[in-house]
This record gives sequence, C-alpha cells and structure tokens, in this order.
Amino acid sequence: MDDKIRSVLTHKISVKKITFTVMDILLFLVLTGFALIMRYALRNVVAGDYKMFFEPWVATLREAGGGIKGLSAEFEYVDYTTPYLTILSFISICPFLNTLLLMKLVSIFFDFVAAFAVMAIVYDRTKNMTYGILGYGALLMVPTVLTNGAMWAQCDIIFTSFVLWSLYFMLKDKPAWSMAFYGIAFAFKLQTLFLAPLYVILWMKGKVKLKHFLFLPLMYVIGMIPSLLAGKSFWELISVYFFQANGQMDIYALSHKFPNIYQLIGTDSFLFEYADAGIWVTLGALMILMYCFARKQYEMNACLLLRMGMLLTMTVVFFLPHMHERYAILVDVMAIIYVFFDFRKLYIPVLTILCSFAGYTVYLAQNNIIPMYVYTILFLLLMLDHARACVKGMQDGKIAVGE
Amino acid sequence: MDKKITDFLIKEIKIGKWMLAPIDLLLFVAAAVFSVMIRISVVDYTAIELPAFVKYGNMLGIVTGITDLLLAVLGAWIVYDLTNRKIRAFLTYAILLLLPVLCASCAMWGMGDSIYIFFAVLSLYLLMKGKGNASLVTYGISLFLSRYAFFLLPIYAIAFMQKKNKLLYFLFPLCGVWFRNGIVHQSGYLPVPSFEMERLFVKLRGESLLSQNWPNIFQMIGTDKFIQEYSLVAKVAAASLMLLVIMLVLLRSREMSGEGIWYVGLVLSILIPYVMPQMDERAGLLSCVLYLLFAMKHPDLYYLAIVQVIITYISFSAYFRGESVIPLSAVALAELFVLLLTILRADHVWKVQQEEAR
Repeated sequence: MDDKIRSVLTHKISVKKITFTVMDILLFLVLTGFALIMRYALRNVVAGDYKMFFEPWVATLREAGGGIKGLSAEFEYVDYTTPYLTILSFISICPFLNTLLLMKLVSIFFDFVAAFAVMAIVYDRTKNMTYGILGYGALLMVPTVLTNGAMWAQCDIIFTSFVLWSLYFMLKDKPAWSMAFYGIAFAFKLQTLFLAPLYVILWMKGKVKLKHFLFLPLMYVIGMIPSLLAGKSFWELISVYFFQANGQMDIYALSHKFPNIYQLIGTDSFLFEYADAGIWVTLGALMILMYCFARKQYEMNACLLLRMGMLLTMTVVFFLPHMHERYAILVDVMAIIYVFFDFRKLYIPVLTILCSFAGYTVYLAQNNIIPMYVYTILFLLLMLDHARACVKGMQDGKIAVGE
Repeated sequence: MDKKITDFLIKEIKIGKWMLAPIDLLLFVAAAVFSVMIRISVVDYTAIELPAFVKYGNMLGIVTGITDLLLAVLGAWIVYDLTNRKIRAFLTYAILLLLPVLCASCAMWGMGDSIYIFFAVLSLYLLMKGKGNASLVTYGISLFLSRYAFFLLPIYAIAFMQKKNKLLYFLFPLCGVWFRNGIVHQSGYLPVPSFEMERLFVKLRGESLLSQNWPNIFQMIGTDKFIQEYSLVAKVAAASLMLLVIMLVLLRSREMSGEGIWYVGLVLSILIPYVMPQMDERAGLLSCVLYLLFAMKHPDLYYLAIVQVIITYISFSAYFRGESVIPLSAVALAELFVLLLTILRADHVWKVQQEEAR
C-alpha cells in the first residue's frame, strides 16, 4: 500500500519534452490553493490610496460612461497611462463585485502571470519541473507581491510580470520578444525604466539590437489607442510620464517610506536641492556602473544578468528621490529567481524583501518599529554584495581579448 | 600530592561496560546538584495568580525536574552516539541540565516543556536509527503534549517518501493532535496539571496579538495590526514553507542521513515559529535543545546555539518582566540572521556529504 502511494506520487508524466511527476502536480495545486487563500484573507483591507485616488478615478470613469468611452473623462489628477486606465474604466461598469475586489482580482491575475514567468525561467535554468513549481510558489508567497495587489490594490505586479517575461525571453536569446514585453511593461508604468540600463548593457554585449528598442515607443503608442479612440489628445497622453518624472505630487518628501539614502540624511530637508541633485547622482552612479559592465570583456550569463539587473535597479531606487515603498518590487522578484540559480545566496531575497516590505508596513499598518535607517543600511550592504558578486562574475567569465 | 589527585581524577576506570574517569562522575553529580539548586531557587515563582497555577505550579516544577534530567541523559546519549566522544556527552548532559531556558520553562514557569521536547528529540533519534515507525509513535506523544512539536512534521513526510516509515503509523501523530485539541482547546478537563495549566494559559493569552513576545517576523511588522488577515496568511505561509522544505530535501537527497534529519529538524524548529502567528515565548525551546545537540557535533556552530538560547531567554524575560529590555524587533532581526546562517550551513553540509558520497 505504502509503496503504491509512493510510486503513484513519483510517477513520471511527459508532455512535450517536459517531464514532471504526480507529486509536482499536487505541489502546483496546493501552492496555487495556498496563494489564493492568502489573497482571500486580505480581500477586505482598504488602503488609503484606494480611498484617495482609485475610488474617485473609477467614479470619474464611470461618470464618463465607462469602457472605452470612460477614457474621455477629465481628471483633476491622474498619473496612470491608458492601458491601466482602460482596465479601471471597464471595472467601473462591471456589473458584479465591487470596484475594490475587481481591482484586486486584476492584480492577483497578474501575480499568477508573474509566477508563471518565474516558473518558466527557473525550469529553463534547472530543467527540473519541481524547482520550477517551487519558484512559482515562492513568487506567490513573496510578502511584497502578496500585499501589493491583494491588500493594497496596487498594480505594480502588472508591469513586473511583463518585465519577468522579458527577462525570460532574454535568457532564451530571443531579444525581439524580450523587448516587446519590455515595451508592454513600459506602456503600463514608468518604473520599468529602472531596469533600462541593463538592456543598454545587453545591447553593448550584442544581445539586443538597437532596432529592438523601438518596441518601447511602439508599445506605448499602441497602449494609447483606447484613449485616442475616446477623443484624448496625443500630446496629453504622451506627457503622462513627463508629469510623473517631474514628481509634482511627491515633492513633500525625498523618500516615501522607501529605505534609501534619504533615510540616512533626512527625507524632509533640502527638498528641492536634493531632488535635483539626487537625479544627477543617480544618473552618475548608473553611468559608472554601465561603463564598468559594458567596457569589460566577459561572457554574459544568466546569473550575471540577474545580478546586474538587481544591482542597477537597486542603485536607481537607492539614490533617486521621491521613491515609494513599492518601487523595489522588481528587485524582489529578481531576487526570488536568483536564489534558484545559487541557493547559497538565500539571504539576498530574504533581506531584500524584508527591506522592501518595511515600507509597506509603515504605509499599511502605520507601524514604524525598526527605524528605516536600519533597513537602509541592510539595503546598502546588499548592494555592495551585489557589486562584489558582479565583479567576480565578470572576472570568472573574462574573455581574453583585452580588458 | 597535586599530581596524584589530578591523575586520579582523569584516570579512567571500568564501570560496567563503560570506561569513566572520576572527573566525569564528578561533573555528572555536580551538574545534577546545581540543576536542583537552580530549580529550588526559582520554583516558588507563580507566573499567573490563578488557583490552578498556584495549585499545580510547584508540583509540576518538581515533576518536570525529572523529565529535565531524562532529557539531559537522552541528549548526552545522542551526542555520544553521533560523535563517539565521552567528554562531549557529559558536557551535553551538564549543559542541558543547567540550560536557563529549560529551567525557566519548567521549574519557574511550570509549563513542563521538557516533557514534549524529550519525546520530540527521542523521535528524531529513533528516526536516525532507522526506527521510523517507533519514531512516529513518540512523535505522536510529543504532539499530544505540545503544539510546538508540530514544527517537525515535514521530517516524517520526507521519511515516508524515503521508505523509512509506514503510512499507518501516521495515525499516532493524528491521534496526538486530536486528543490534544480535545483536552486543551475544547475546554475539556483532564486532571493532569500540565494540560490544565496550558488550557488556562491559552485562555488567558488568547489570540489577541500576532506574536506573544516571540521574536519573529511580526515583531518587525507589528503584532497588533491586521490580526485576522495576517493570522490566516501566516499559517498558510508556514504550511507553504513546510512543503518547500519537504520538496527541497526530496530533490536534493535520495536518502536523508542521520545528520540530515537533525539539520532539517533544526531548520524547521527555527523557521516555522518565525512565520507562524500567535507564537509565544516558548516557541524557541525546541530549537535551543536541537541546536545545542547539534553544536556538540559541530563545535563551530556553538555561537549560533548560544545566540539562540539568549534570544529565547530574552523572550521569556519579556513575559516575566512584562516588557523586554532589548526591543523585540531587534531580537527578531537577530533571529532572522540565526535562521539564515543555519540554513546556509545546512546547505553547505549537504553539499559536502554529497561530494563525499560520490
């Protein structure tokens, strides 16, 4: 009897070159169930952002007729691009469930899209479906991913999921697909650009062609179509990101509960001076890193690509002013993938997510138990660790043709 | 003269089938005496001024003194079996008897945790020795005595997949949980002091906070917000982590070695209370004992074992005093580092063993 159960659980099934066991299927189902239960538990939480922004936005869209028609609405303030506003506009006229739940459901759907991307990346790397499913489950359990959508009703996972699929195709050496997904991510959120330096480095390494970068404006313009159909002007739509880049809404603090450099030097002094200087410092830091990573001759592998991606994104959110709690979500998800590449680095996702989640706690629960500067120091140490590992990775994969 | 005395102390003599030096026996007796003295010093403390606590507290303190001794002997036996070194075995015996957290839990607080720890450790030892079914019986007893034994459950699932026990014997842990729930949580009454006290304790503490002084994740993110939501999320997260551990161990080794069993037990006993909601001060006791036993096999880990004991005692202290001297959020961060270092070390040992096997 016992042996029968064991043999059933370990029975191998092959579907199109992919081999998995009955236990893998069970694991997948259980983890999916667990992920749904966790999200169900958070369904009734109403965050301040919903009351202050989302609810009025959806009401405005509804008043304008909802659906495509709703996109013609005039907002007092909105910093989302057309693709997400289109989703909100359709939510506004949805006859079942309330707006909050529908918004959360959209984000939860993309939680799973992101989880499948992680599964694909991990499977591609390990050629073991169990690891792939564990990656899928791990992403769904990440506190920042879980709370971002299911608790806070934010939508950062949407652009993150497209970035993950972009990374997947990049690792599969399909640059056009990769940049197409990166373009879709860009059409949803400006924060996609945090990872842009990585793609520049990949271009320098010959992994991407310059023409592939055209997917960014292309996808952005395609994303604008619903609003154009609703009668909005082209210039108004294209200026959304310029408005965001100016940070007009966020100027009251240099960091919005994110553990970055401003938590060490003060988030409320020299607001204008540091806001400008911070941007230049960020660009300078990126320039130095990009020079270093692009100039050296080495073989770019998947592991190095992920570490560079994490380091560059961390550099941006560490130095850039007006960063919000949620802006390191890209680092969080990349760290989860990375641990499946090198289990010795388990501390990276744990500590990265801890730092990232600290800001969530301050916002959602108004709890500031450990001073933010402690998390900043941790974050800085992680960045240094990444930098050291990147240098080592480049040295290990050094190509003998000059340096 | 001095030389004579020192020579006498370290000269081994045959007692039964054992070769022992008088200094070993001296430590054996002295540790027992000291442990009794420590327990007598604190036994009068009454944690909660309720009739049952007053009535049974002292009695249980004395009874658990015996189980403390049994646990110390068992620990020494296991260390001897693992290392084949007498000195380490005697040291284990003495350290376990004098371990502050065990003294505080049993003699001072009257919670009797050494009883369930004894059975949990015995269960792991039996599994190590290839007696998987007997291991499940003792694990069932341990689960019957305390909910904290639950942390070890994945080990038995792994053992099942590796053909070390039979499915039928899982009835024992199941019955353990069943009876325990009936006695402690369904307000049933059994005239056994330990259960009566725990029932009162559970009733008193309730589920009002996400963490009852145990330095886990909730001490960092807040113990008093989103209690209902986070409780369910955290329980599911703990179950997911258990699954993760099971799958990772099954993926990485076809056969879990004796040392592997200890490591998995150790990691689980730190990991699960770190994410589980409503964990109280005693949630780390099992990990302290497992860590100490493990540090005897791997002395380079002694510092982590000591840190784990200190962390647990800080938590105890927070209960006894009503507040913690060191903020529990900082202690929780330290516990996270202990957890990470333990997992990384486990991974390293695993790899070394695999290479050796090749």
